[in-house]
Amino acid sequence: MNKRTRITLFALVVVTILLIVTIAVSASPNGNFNAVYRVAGTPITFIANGFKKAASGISDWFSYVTSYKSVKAELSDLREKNAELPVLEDEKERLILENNELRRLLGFDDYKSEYSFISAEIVAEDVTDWFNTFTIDRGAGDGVKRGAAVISPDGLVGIITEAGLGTSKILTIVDEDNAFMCRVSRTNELVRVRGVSNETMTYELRIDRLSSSSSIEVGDRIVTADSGGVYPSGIMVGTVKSVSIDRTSGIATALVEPAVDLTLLSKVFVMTEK
Amino acid sequence: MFLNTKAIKRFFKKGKNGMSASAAKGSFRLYTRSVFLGGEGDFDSSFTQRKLVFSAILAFTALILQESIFNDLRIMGTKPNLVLAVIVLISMSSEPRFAMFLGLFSGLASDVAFGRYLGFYALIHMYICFLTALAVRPFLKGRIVFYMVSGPVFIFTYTLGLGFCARFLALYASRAPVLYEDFAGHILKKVIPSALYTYFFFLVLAVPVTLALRKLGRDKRKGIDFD
Repeated sequence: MNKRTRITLFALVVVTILLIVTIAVSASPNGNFNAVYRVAGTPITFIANGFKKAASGISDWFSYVTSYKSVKAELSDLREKNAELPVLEDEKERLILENNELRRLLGFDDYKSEYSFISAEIVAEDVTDWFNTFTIDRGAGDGVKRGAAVISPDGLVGIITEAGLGTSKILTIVDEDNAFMCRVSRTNELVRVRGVSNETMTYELRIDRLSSSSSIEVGDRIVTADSGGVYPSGIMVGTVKSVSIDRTSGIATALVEPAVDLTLLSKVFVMTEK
Repeated sequence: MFLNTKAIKRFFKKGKNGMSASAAKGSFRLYTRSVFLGGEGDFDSSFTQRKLVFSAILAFTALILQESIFNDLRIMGTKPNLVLAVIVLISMSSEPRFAMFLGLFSGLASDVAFGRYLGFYALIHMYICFLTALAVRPFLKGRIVFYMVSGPVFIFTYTLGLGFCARFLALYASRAPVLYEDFAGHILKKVIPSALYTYFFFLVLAVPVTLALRKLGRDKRKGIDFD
């Protein structure tokens, strides 16, 4: 073994130790590499975003050319629906007023009034399928903060783990790293939900350690609970898909189908406290 | 200076006239044989500045394309690992030290831009490239047909290894109760589809990338051998 080989092997060992330490810190609950991400990650994400927009522009142009007939039919359909809009708008205004009045009478706090919503577009995912993370085109400069909840109109999407200058990373609810407290909306039972999608390609959530006396049923809606301190309460998480009981231990496990289809998601809202 | 303008100018100048000797003689048959099966002294795996520039650009482009286009080109819910295909391909034609640094930097770029844990892809890619270069070095350097045949073994092993490390990290972070709850499902639903999809792009890129590296690898002026 000559000198160069020895230097190379020495460098390999040193870099390996350094990287293992970095991974360990990054995987710990308090691990925070926001500064590194801001400096080095943001430019790469911007370039990828530019490429993605160019690619989707080309794809949109081709789909417009190839689907001209269906676009024309859709246009006439939309014109018909457009005529009904003023009536629906009046109805919506009336329902909003009625809803606000009822909430005030019942003394309900609306979480929507405590938060502002930053709309964002998903520009990238994890390089592989081994971790369920998204990158969005809004960052600390837009008011996004680490730990903020991310939702879509259908329900909970995940949490902000890194907030760069103009981009941020989201850890989705189906990732195993994401465990949080929820309630079964029918029974108000408190349960701990975690993602299980890393091992296989199934985008599911799991409720572990349910007692045998639990009355959870297939079809029950699961919403976030404020007792976990991670997400605001009342956000739709998913629906119970199956319940199984271990006969020896008597412990039940439930699988939950997320309300949000993460494979089709393109736009999200980041909830930031006002 | 490591990257100077003279080196870049030399890169483009060589690119115009850098055909292989057999191609210059006009023998298409000999040239094809040389490209796919290699030949004595026809390929140099040493480290050159032009090769460094080319490999870095290629790995970075793969990363950008992976994130901008291939996230939307899923088949059976899985996407290809274009970065893995490119770095394995380059490592097959490189000496171990060059491959090691290529893996390290491509992994770091993946980590800081799109990764979950800082250093995860850097560590994995560094070893993937180093081991590929070491494994291929004594036998197959520059022989594209052997790259194509041995490609599935490398890609499958690395995809499985990458998954194992991700699972192991999940276990470390106390997220997963056991390493594998459904090992068969893990292999069938995640590892095999991802490896096959990645191998497809490995095949597509094998000939152009190896030819380009062969051309660039002949500049021995800055050559450093790994003994």
